[in-house]
Amino acid sequence: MRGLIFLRDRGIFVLWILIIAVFAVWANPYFATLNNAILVANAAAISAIFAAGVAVGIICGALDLSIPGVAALSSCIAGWMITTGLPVWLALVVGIVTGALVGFVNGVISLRGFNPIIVTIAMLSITSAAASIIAGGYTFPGLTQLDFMGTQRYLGIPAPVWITAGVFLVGTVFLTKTRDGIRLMAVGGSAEAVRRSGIHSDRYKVLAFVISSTCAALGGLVTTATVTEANPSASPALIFTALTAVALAGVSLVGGRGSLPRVLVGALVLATIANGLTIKGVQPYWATGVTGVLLIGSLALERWVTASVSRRLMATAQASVHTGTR
Amino acid sequence: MSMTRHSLKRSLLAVGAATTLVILTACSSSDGTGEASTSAEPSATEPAAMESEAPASDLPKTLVFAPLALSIPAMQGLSDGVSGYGGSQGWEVIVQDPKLDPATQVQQVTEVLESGRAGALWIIAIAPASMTDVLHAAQEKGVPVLINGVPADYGFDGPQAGITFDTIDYEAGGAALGEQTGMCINEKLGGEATIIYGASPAGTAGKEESDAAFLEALEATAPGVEVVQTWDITDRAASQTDVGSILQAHPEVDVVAAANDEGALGAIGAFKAAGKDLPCVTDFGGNDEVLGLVEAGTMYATVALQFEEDMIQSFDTLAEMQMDPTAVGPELTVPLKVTNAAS
Repeated sequence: MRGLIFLRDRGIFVLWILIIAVFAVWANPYFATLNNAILVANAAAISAIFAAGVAVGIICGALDLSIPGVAALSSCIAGWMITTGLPVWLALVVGIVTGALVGFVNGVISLRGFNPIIVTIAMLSITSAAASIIAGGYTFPGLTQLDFMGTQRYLGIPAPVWITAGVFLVGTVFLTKTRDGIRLMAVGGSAEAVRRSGIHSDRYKVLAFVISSTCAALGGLVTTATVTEANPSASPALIFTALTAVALAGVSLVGGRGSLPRVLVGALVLATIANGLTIKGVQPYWATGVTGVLLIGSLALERWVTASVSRRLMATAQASVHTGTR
Repeated sequence: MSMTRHSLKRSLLAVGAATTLVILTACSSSDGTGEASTSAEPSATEPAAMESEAPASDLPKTLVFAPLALSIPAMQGLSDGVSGYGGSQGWEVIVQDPKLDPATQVQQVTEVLESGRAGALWIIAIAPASMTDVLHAAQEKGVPVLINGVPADYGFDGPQAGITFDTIDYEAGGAALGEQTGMCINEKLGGEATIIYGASPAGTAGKEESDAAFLEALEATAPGVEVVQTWDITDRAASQTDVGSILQAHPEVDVVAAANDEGALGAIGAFKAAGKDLPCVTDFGGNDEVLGLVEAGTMYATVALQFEEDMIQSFDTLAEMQMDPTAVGPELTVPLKVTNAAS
């Protein structure tokens, strides 16, 4: 029983360790090195930031599909401001605030009874178009002023890894240790129950959209810093990678349940597979296929483990009733 | 009373709908000048008759430009160039945006062709096979077309009346890339090197010809060198990550050749992040950022398709074809230019 519960709550960690073990042997001696571990962490960092935004939205029952557009818009606004000679800090602040504002608008419109998926798809179009208009259909290249949060290393670790660590630390503390965070998760579980408890569930839905879009903006800015170019094209691959990491982490897609550390490991699993296969020189199509197989496998495992745990708990409860023990 | 009012409304709706239908039918069967066709006129399936129905002089000086998608910077640049050059020649240019969707592209081009608005079509087909019917329709209407590829891509067995085919010589591009990479190896590394190659993703136009020509020219210029690994280029960030991983298995890599700019720039980023030197970088792209890196000495060479020159030759060809849309169109090739430290 304990084993099953462990597998349910920590299965993604076990999976990751297994994958690392397999590649450590198969891609020996290149895979299991400190430098490669840093590379994997760096590769996972950006997807993890986007995945954090998607996860917080889903946990609160608000799937935000505008994330690629928000990332492109924030990048292009910051890129334009830096190119025109404005201070870098101001460009970053405006980029982040833009993301938060888009999230706020998404939330407010969704609360009017509109389907959040349709609203965020519309916002994806609007933000993508706005990014293209700002960039005039081109890109903003040569943004080396952002190196400090892109390719720069601090204590030997790349800047995006530090930023991601900060996002997940703050996010985890917020969701598990603060009143607003716990309420936000509760809204995803049952908005009606929360409302009947006298809590304004609407406020928390809007907050989830704001957090989601802010993460998207931050992810867009970190991507820009890494490649020193702001690109107006909103890549749909962003949302799929983030959703894959979230699903691998066992975040309930109907809301109310999920853990940010597991989402981080979900992103690390994807980066580890891609890294290991690349080191072995395996064609990249295999990485995509393996990810799909893993996703279905982890969903099946989660379903089996959850059903097994529930069955055993019911059996224990019934036995307690009959024997009078607890 | 209520019934009478409803009947009246229905009658008015029916009359309105019938009138609209008649007007739309008349417009759709009219030629470019907006004149309605009569029942005595030949049907649109009789090419010879249609050519005489839409003589060159009647075609408006309106060019419809249908690129792959305006979200691609190169396409945006080309559309700006076409609009600017066309405007300077007294043409109106309508730019479409099919967003990489073949069905949308066919629909948009068909609409503008059927409306009689198009005086000439410039199509960069997303899925060439889907454009075959559009080309036949344009021939029937006598509207000249310039389209990418070769006649066989569209089911033709040779050059066609009213159609110019504009093709990219991927083989020549790949060969130039291989030759420049070999030259860099000989000049900077004494003929010995460890190479990685960034290839275009599967399904990209010209991939097979370009990749094969690259390897052949590389072997001919710097015999004995080996490409130790190939990665597929999706975008700059992904290339940066992939090359970083490749460097774990092959830390001795000192040459990168890439099938496009994003691959080369991503590789440069990966080497920079790893704190390693990269003596030889070459690519098949040639955007402004890459040209700047060649000038600065960071890259050895870039092979670039000269789209601006091609734009001018293509536009001038279309304008000439409009004078006689029944003439067989020429086959054009996008010019190539190699820029390296020596040039």
